[in-house]
Amino acid sequence: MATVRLEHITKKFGETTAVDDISLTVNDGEFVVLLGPSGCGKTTTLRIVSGLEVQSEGHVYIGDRVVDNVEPKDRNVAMVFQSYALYPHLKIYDNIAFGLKARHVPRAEIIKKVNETAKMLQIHQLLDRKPAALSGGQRQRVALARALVRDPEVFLLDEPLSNLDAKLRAATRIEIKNLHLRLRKTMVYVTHDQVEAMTLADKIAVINQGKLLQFASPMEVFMKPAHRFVGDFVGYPSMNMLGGELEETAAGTFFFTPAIRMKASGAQAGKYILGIRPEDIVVSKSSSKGSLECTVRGLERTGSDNYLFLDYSEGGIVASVTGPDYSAGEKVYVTFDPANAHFFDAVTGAAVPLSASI
Amino acid sequence: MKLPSFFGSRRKRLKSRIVSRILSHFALIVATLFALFPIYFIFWTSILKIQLAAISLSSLIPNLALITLYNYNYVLSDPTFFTIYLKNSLIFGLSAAGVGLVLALFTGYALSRFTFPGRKPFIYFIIALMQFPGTMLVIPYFFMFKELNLINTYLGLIIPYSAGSIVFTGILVKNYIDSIPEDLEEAALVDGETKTGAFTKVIIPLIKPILGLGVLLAFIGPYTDFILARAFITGNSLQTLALRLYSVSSISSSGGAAIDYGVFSAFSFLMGIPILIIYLIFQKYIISGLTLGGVKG
Amino acid sequence: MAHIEEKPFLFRLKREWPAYLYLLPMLVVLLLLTIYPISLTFYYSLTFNGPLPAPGIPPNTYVGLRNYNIIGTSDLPLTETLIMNSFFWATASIVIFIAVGLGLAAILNQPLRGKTVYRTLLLFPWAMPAFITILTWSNMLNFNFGIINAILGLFSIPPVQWTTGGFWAVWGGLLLMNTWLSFPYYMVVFLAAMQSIPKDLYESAEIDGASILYRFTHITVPYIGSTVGFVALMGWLFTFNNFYPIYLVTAGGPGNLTSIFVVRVFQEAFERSHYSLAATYTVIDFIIMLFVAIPAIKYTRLSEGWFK
Repeated sequence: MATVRLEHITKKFGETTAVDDISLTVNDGEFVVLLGPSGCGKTTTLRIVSGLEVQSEGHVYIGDRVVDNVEPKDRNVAMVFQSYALYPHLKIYDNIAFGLKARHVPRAEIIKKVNETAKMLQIHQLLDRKPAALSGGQRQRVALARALVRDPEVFLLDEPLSNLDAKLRAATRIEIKNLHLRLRKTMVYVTHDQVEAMTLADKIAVINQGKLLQFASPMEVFMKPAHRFVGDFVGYPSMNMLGGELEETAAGTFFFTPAIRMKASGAQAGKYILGIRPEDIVVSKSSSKGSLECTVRGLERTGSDNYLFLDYSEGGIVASVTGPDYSAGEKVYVTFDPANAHFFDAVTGAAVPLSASI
Repeated sequence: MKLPSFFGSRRKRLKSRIVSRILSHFALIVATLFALFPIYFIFWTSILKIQLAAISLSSLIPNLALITLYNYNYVLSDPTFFTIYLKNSLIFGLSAAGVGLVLALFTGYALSRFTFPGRKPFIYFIIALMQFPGTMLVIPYFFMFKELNLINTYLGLIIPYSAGSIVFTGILVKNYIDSIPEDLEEAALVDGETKTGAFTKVIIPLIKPILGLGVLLAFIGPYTDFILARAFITGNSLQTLALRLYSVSSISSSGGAAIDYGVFSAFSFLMGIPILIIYLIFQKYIISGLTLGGVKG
Repeated sequence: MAHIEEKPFLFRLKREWPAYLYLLPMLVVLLLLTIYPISLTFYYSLTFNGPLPAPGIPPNTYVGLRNYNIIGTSDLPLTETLIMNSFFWATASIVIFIAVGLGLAAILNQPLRGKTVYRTLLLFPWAMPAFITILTWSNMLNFNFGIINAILGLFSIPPVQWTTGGFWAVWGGLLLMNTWLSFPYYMVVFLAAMQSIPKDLYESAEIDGASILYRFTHITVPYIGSTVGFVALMGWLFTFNNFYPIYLVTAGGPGNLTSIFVVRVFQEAFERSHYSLAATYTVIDFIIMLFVAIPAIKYTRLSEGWFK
């Protein structure tokens, strides 16, 4: 059993709090992605699991064992570094064998395991070379091989794809996913790339400013963001955010923004933020009841998707559209199904169970 | 509008390029002659039987008929060259290089990798202490070691010789380790190594260049030292090559005319051989270590 | 919430105790072989020791600032001479080193046939032990039999009294020798710095029509400025107290013409047994060094390499 459990982990560097009271459990065989912007504390969290960093407060469990006082070498974890951290003075073979040698695995077994792993990752023809002679993609595979060959209980991966070009990144992403499906090992993966998180993860932990904002499956994170930040960070283009107020009137409870008015219920009166994804926005050339009049600022074409940047009286909106026949300055009319709207507390940012209708 | 003549400008450019090339070679040849002349001077006089007063420009022109191994014979036929001078200089040089280097390695690693409270003021403090002229430490050392009865003993010289290089070489090593990503050690830690294991298996192999330079510098200092040796060595048994060379070269007493100059040169050359050997062993690392150590900062 | 602050601290200590072990040798050396002897030197400068002209005072007596008074009053001309000579020696040497080093590095930094051969040969003086080559130079500079005067004779220049003559003759000989000893190091370091300048900077400047001089002053100089500054400072501090070149060639003479602190201190201590006086000069020298080094290091950011 190799679950990883973090219990109220806090890490302070002097006055700054890098990790703020994070608790989560990674089940055996699960692929968990720690997702967040740079400097959010995700890498520090990973390093606390590895033992390279020691938490200020809280406990780390690997399996049923408290590992707070266990050194990295005795935690039975393997780590892939963002820089790959290949030993430049050692040949690829010795790089991969390093951890096995450190653990005094018999020589014959080392040879067998290194060759097997190298074959699996198709780097067996590189074993006699030094890291400096390898391309970025090859180095990345060696780093993976070095972790895999150890057959640890837990794999920790720190932005392993960030130094690859876009094409290679996409290809390697799939390979990592397949490796996980084949090995079914517990993996904790750090990235700031939401596409990586969505495609790889069984569960995503969204972290910002040291706090764990949501820990759920990719679909749930996308469909039901638990926090304004999650809605904003996951998905491209970002969710549109419109500030407004919930008010009780004689005609019922309404959510008002300066431009929109809709029926809503499920929370106390106060300030909230309405979030609506670009793909949930319907753009029409003719006005209808309750539609919002906008002016086209520009159209961004990516080939498959087109994003329409719109201005209305109070700000900007991005909408995902199919047709490319829009020109700047043109008037269009926007509507959306209130059922697709997300609501967040204007102060805390937490999701609010408001339900809206026209 | 008048267009510049294509051929004219090309010829002009070519001409100025040739002139600058000739000037460059001329400057380099002059500098090389300047750099090599004293070395040639030592070498050639070491295979001539000649007194200082007899050295003239014409005697410096290579001439096979004049070559003799008399001077080398003269120096090497005296057994004390090996049993006293060379032995002692090697003992001091090698032990100081060995001990000093190991200490500098630990120091440089600690200064580079470990954060401890007050690290920055501590380094400032060391830099301030480094400004104390090393030569002048001889005086307090002399009294300290006299108190400990270490004057005129091997230990009494090996201790200050080893200590002499630790701070300088330590900072050299620190700067070099600073340039090695910390990820490498962390990878080793996760891979199952202890901190010490990460140090010996990852850091040490990677800092070989600076260690090569460190060995050379830490060896040459004590091996050719005159100051401490002059102050500390009183008996015959601890005499070193440097002390001997100094007495061989002392011209001032006799005006120098009668000094057997070939013997001095041969002695110099023989004294340089161990340094040459160390230089050749570590040659690969020394140049890169030298440039890295200097450019840093 | 679980508070385990003490535990990680102990854990850290347990994990990082080698850190302190690694520092131990250095701390021992600093304490016993640097701080203690430096304090001793300060103490000696406040005692009577050795055959100073002080009838009636037993050795090792605390005499307060008596030694400073002696060198500050009766000995004033010598102290002043030592200060001026040391400054002149260090400054003149460094200016020459930098000029020669930069010049040769600039020449070697252009595409030139055989430049690695030149570089290797030019490094020879640095690779030879200074103690041996200085003794050789000392002989080469001999007035009567030295080869330098013989070479000058080729050009009908009368022999120069390199070790016994006037200001320019003696300092000239010493600076010539010191240049020979040191220029290879400066050349190699500057060359490495120049080679680290990205080529495209020069290319874009050339496209913009910048002249060679403009490229040198606006690209090369700013790029390698900090290296040159740092090396110059270190070289100055080293030369200020460089013992061998002067001790072995002129021993501070003729008279006190080339006497610098470090040579004088050695002579006072080990040739005349004026230990207290030697200690007093040492303290003055140390204070001068601190006055130059600390502000230079603190305010010029030259020492960034030391801190990271």
